[in-house]
Parts: sequence; structure tokens; C-alpha cells
Amino acid sequence: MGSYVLSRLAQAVVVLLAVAFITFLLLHLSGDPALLLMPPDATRAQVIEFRTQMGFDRPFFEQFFQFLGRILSGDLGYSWRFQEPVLPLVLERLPATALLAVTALIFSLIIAIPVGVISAVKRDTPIDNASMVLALLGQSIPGFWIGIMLIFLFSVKLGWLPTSGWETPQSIILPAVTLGLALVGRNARLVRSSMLEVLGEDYVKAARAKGLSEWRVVNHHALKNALLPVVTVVGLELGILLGGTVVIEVVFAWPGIGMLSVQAVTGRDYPIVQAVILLSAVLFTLTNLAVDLLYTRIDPRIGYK
Amino acid sequence: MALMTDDKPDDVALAVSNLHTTIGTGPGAVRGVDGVSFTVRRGEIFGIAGESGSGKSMTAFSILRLLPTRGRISEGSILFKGEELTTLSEAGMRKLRGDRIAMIFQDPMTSLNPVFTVGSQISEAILQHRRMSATQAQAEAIRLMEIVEIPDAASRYSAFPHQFSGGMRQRIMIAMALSCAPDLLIADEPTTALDVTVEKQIIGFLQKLRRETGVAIMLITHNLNLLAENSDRIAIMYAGQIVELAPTSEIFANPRHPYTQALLNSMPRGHISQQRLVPLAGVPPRIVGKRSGCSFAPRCPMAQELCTTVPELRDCGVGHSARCWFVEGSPRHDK
Repeated sequence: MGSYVLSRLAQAVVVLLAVAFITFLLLHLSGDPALLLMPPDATRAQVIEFRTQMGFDRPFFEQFFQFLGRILSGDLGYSWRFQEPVLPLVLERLPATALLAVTALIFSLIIAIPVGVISAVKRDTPIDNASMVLALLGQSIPGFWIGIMLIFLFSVKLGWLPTSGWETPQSIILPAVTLGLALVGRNARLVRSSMLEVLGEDYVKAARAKGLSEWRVVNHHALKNALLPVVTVVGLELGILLGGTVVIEVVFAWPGIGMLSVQAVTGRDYPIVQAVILLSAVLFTLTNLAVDLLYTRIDPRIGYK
Repeated sequence: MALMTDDKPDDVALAVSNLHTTIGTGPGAVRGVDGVSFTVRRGEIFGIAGESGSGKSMTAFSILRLLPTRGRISEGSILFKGEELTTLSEAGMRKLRGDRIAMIFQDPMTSLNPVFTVGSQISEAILQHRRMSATQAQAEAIRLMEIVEIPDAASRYSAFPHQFSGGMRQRIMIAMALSCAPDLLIADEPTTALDVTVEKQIIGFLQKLRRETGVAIMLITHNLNLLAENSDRIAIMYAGQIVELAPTSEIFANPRHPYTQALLNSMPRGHISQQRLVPLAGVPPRIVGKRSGCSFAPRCPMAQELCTTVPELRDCGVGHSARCWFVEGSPRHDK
């Protein structure tokens, strides 16, 4: 058990090192930073001097290790636009994104699990077919369109909910629902297929042969097994969502990481872009690590080998 | 072997008559079980043998009314201790399942739920049918685990299925089946997935169980050797029908149906090692729609013109019947 945790931690470290390397490499490939940073009218001598001063003339790997040293000490550089350290800027946006991600995910699961289970139990009936058509729709309609339609209906026409921002607690409803609907489709289909597989297992037959009610067979014996693959996918989804949901955050003017990265990209604020990429990768890796560790709790077969 | 004739009603645990179970509907429906009749007496081990797809398991699942979604009992009667099961409500069936009729499955590796402890799975069966507190059920589950000789039962209560070997898991399945002292135990290939020494132990348990509790056991297997020593009577199934039904010694000494003879010729029989094994070619057919003649005829070495007419089960001895036109004084198929 302990060795399993250690090996997973070691893997996470390797992944993060690779991410840092790729981020650094991409930036390195995007052009000469000295030319980019100096004003256009700087002389050649000034550029060279700046380059030496900043260490841009050092060998690639030396620069990489310096970069690594800096990010390990929490120094992700200065934002060119805000003239402030990047890390606090990005971290400040994280709660909004995390709140939206978690709310959307919970919303999607509250709908997807019952829908998936009912579809599997009522396989090939009109209920199943209707649910799966709706799930496919939810999955295939672009989020921005759903978002705009929801704003149109609930904010403009009915005036029940704010159109954007996050000034009031109600503000989260529309973006979370928009984001969640796309996930409902995928998760419901996943729960259904996983449930169908589990319902054919011998231990489900054995549970029925014990005289248990169908409700208990489905929701106790089958569901817990059927949710194992769902946990993996939900972990991945959370990891992706934590990296910022660009489109939804822009549509709803949600002040999260997604908004920040759009602003940074359009403003060519590379340190912020770099920080967002790094942070997303760290969060993604950590969520996956958390899911793997959670797995040892919910699936007794894992971690003992 | 004294249990053969003169059924007193009290002695009959299960009486299946003219059972038909179909899978699917309409002209494409498969006749999984096609007119099967037999009785299982109290304290008896009744063997059902046949190849895969012969309808053995389908018969078992019909009795428990746990058929696949598209399967249904279309005709016939299943009397369990005098109670008709084919028309019993689903709630009534649930009361019987796991309580008075228990089942052991083929593969102990897959018939225990991997995410729950073995102990909780046994207690669950107890709590379902008996008025007990959770603590009492746990104590009872540990007692049952001791009965099936699981070492260190109390501490193994909270272990998970993957921490047990196949034989131990099958013992746990047996403990679960015993939890409510059933009148009928259906064992569907209980030792097929296990090695021979473990098979001996498991069958030993079943033998002890029926001696001590008088439970009626339906032992379903494709292994006739297993039934030779461990059953009182045997039904041989083929293509959804019983083709021969006789006391165990009769089946082995005097097999009357060509299929039974072919099965016996195809398997090694203990010490008679001189005998050459004769493989039986082909597979049993799936019967869709109306039967045209004897289902075994296409594989039968003695098939004749007459065999294009469907044969009935015909008596050919005390408690012995076979579904063949040539049962009496027929061209015997001897090796």
C-alpha cells in the first residue's frame, strides 16, 4: 500500500518535470526573448547586452535548470502587462475556476448517475433510447451556444438569473449548468455502459439468487462496481476543468483562469501563459494522483498487489 | 440408492413437470428447456449432466426464475414443496431465493462481489431472510465460515474475495448458500473451475450437508465421473430435453440412450484404462421452432428412418427411462 503511494508520487514528479521541460521548450522555440522584450528601437548592442544580462545566451539546459530552480522557489516571473509577480495573479483566479468546475461536475453527476443507471436497467426501452438521444445532444451541442441560449432564456427573457460575472451567489448557476450539460451526456453514457457490463456479472446473479430486492442488487451490488471507471473519468474531467474552461468563462465573464489565459494570450503576456500551463498541468497531475489514491479506498483489489 | 420409488409427497422437494423455457419470442425463439420433467427428493443428490448448451443451467435458472431478460417460462409447472413457482409473485420468489432455495455458481472467482468483504456478503444473505441484528448476523456468518472450514474465520470475515483462493471462495459461496438452511440447493458446475483435490473437498461438503440436513441437491455438471460417485440419480440432457433419466448405477451399468453411451465412451473411467476413448463429434443443436425428429439423430451412430419422428421418453427399467426409439431390444451400440 505504502509502496503504491510512493510509486504513484514518483510518477507524478516525472510527469511534472516533463511538463516543465515542454513548457520551457515551447517558449524557447517561440523566438528570441531578448528581441521580444526590448523596445523595437533598441540598438543591437543593447539587445546583446540584455541577452547576456538575462542569461539568454547560456546553453539551453543551463537555462532550463535555472528556470526549474526559479519555479521550484515559486518564482514564475513577472507579468509584462500587470508588472506584478505572475504566481499570485494566477492563484487569485483559481478559486473562481475551481468553484465553477466542482459545481458543474456535481451537477452533471447528480443527473448522469441516475439517468445512466435507469437507462441500463431499462435497456432498449423508450426510456433508454430517449435518455441516450438527450445525452448525445448534450454532448454534441457546443457549450457556448447552450450558454447563450440559457442567458437569453433565464436572464434576458425571464430575468431570473444574472447574465454574467460572479457578484451574487446565483451567478454560478448558468455557467455551471452550461458546463455541466456537456458532461452529463458523456457521464450518463459512461455510467450506462459500465452498468450494463456489471449487470451481466456472476456476482449480480449471485446477489439476485440471495433473494435481494432488485433495488438493492442494482444500487448496492452493481452500482459500486459500475462507478469504478466513472471515478477515473470524473477525475480527468476535474483536472481538465481546473485548467480553466476558456469558452464558458468568456461567455459568462467568469473571472477564472480561463479568462485570464485568454487575456494573456491576446496581450502576449507570456509569463502568465506559461504559468497557466504549468499550473494546469500540476493540478491535472495532482487530481489524477488523488483519483489513483482514492481508488485504493474504493476498489480493494488495487494497491495490495 | 434406496430412494427410488414410492414418492411420499413429503419427500419430494422439487417436482418439475413439462417445463418449457424459451429465449426470445416469435419464430426465432430458442427452446432452451423443452418439456423437462423430474423430481428431486429430500436428501437426494440429483445429477444433471450434458454438454454446454444442453439446457442444464437454463433449467436451474428457470427454477429460481432468474432467467435472462429475454427468457421466459412458457409452459409447465415447478412445484417446490407443494408450492407452484411458475405463477408465484416476484416478491414471493424473492422470499424463497437464498432462503429455501439456494444456489452455488460455477466460477467462485466471479460470483463474489469484488468490492465487498466476504463476511458482509454472507451477513447480507442472513439479514435478508432472518430476523437478526447486524451483530448477530456477523456472528452467524463467522459460524458458517467455520462450518465450511475457513481457517481463522473471525479475522477473515473482513477480507475481500481477491484475498482468497478459488477453493476458499467456493466455500464462502457454500457458507452463503447454507445461511438460511435451504430445502433445495442448486449447484451449477460448482467444481468446474477448481482443481481436482479442491473438487473433492467441495463435493465432500455437499455430501456431508445432505446427510446432516437432508437438503435436496441438484448437482449440475458436464463431468459424469463426478456424478458416478456423488449422485443418487442422473438426468442426461441434450438440446433442452432429458434424454435419459435413471439411478446413477443404472446409467453407468446399463446406459440405454445412444447419447449417454457416447458420453460414457468418450470419457476415461477410473481404472478401466484398457478401453479406448471414442470422441463424440459435433455440438448439440439449438432448437428453434418445431423439432423435426430426434435431436441427437444427426450425431447418432445408429440413427435410422424412424428417428425423423420425435421420440418420447420411454420406460426401460425401474425408474429408468430414455428418449430413444430403440430403447427395448434395439440395435445396441456396444463397444
